[in-house]
Amino acid sequence: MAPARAPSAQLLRSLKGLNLHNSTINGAKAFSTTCNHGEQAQAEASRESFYKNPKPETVFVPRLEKKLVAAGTPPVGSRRRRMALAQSQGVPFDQLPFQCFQEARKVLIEDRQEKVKQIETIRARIARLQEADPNIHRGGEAYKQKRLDSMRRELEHLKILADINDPNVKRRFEDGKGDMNKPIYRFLADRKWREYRRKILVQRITQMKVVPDVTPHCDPTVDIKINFGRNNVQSGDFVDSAVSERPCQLTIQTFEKEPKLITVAIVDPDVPNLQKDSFDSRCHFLATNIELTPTTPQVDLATLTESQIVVPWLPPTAQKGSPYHRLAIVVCQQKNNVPIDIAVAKKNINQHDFRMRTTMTKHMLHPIGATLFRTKWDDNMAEVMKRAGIEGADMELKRIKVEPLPYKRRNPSTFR
Amino acid sequence: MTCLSLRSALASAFGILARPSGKASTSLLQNAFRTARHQRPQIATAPFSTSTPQFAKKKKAGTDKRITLIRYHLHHPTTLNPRPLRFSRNRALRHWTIHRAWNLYRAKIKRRRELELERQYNAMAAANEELRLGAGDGGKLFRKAQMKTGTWSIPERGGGIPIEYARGQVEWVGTTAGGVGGPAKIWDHGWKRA
Repeated sequence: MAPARAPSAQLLRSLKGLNLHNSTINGAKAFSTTCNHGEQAQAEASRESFYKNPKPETVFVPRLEKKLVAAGTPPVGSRRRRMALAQSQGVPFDQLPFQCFQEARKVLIEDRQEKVKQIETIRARIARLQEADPNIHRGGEAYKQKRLDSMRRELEHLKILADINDPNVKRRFEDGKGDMNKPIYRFLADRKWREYRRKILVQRITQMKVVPDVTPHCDPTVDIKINFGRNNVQSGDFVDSAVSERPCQLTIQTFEKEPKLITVAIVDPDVPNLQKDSFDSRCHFLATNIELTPTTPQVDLATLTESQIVVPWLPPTAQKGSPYHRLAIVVCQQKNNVPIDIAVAKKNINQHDFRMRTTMTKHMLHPIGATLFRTKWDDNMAEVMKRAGIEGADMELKRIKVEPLPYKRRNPSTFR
Repeated sequence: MTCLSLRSALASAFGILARPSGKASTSLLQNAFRTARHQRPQIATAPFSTSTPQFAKKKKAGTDKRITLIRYHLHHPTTLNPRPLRFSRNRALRHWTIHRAWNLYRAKIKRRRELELERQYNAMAAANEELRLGAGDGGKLFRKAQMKTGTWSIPERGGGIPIEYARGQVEWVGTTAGGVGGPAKIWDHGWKRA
């Protein structure tokens, strides 16, 4: 390995002497959409001030590390990594002197410029079509709208193609520093979600029958993460009743630019009804008119305002002996993002005989995401039920024993 | 077998225990053989230890780098278990960049070729259309031109091109030897050692 590294190190040294850093910085900017602060900082790190004010990224002397820890800024990463960073020449990634890499960057930059030109063209075409009279086409207004839709889709596609080959974009996305206002990061996040998390989610909500039991159908397009304070809950997990006594926090990540007005419902479709010998559905939480954008995915159910909450949080409970309860969390988009009148919604709701289908029809809701967690009888359940004022903690449910038929001695003539 | 013996010879030369193998008896035999040949005392080591044996400790001036390397490669044979290819972050990103650029380049070439084919096809279609409508003979010339009868047949019977010429002719199917335009050559019969 050592001989392979040597020429590049020499190159780096000679490049530093040439002061290439300032001359090519504009070329680097042309490709990347956002400037890369990390590498700039590395480049400017001077070794003179190192011992006086060590940096947590580059400190590797144990004495200075201790000093930093005492100051409250512990060093970042391993000592080996920090040492490598401190001793590197600090050439920004885009200017690394590897011939093939630089040639590749040239190709990609050229392609990006092409794509940008195409974007400008299609924008001009969209503007021209918007100005145009719809009657010059045989299809009229409908045809015009269809054309416009198709061109806008093409425009979005081109925006993604322009940035998808940028290594800095890839790096920033992998570091979780992607700006969700930009189409490329939304695209990458969506792709990553669909690769694994969405598959798991769809499997859970179909296997545990959230889909026919609570909503008739659901094609998830938003990523929902559940957590109760510090407890992260995977979809379908059993949650301790003491944990789920307080309302949960949801992270609802949408991958589309337009802000959405959503309704969040938490429904328990497994409440045993002894009279009917079947199960009822109960609403544990319902809130409407929550605005959702790609950059503000946090929805804390505890801090929603009075004008949003229709049904306040009711702790999930399960009686002793009853099968586990599914707590389905359904996220619905309101039609045309029109806010729901909270007074009407409150009047319509029947918390203890709740039908998600009816609510969705009545308020014209469209399910865009669903997940669930489960609860069952545990040690804390009796106290949780007492505090929530739910009866039945002193009762254990048992299956009705089916008496077997009396034994009949079979000794017909054919047995003999 | 030669490989094994070479390895054991090297191992004995540099004072490394033979790698523990499946056949315990063979290694024992080898050990005994080696001890007999080199008159070296048998070193008492645990049979499950894979580390280099510690000889009588003398303060050496320092081991030769080459010897260390040879020892390393005897204990980590690349033929059995190749080292994993792991890139650093920057290296991986550079690799990815080159990969994307190469894919883009090839996609562009492919697209260019497709467009060229499409252009040629359209030109042919336009020429035919011109022949059908613009020649002024009611399309007779066009119909004649489109006739395929006798295209693939025997020249003696008045046909154009024999069916054998539907593909490039070689002396033996599957060869391209002899260079472009040259005769196909499968075996050089006149070859003599220089």
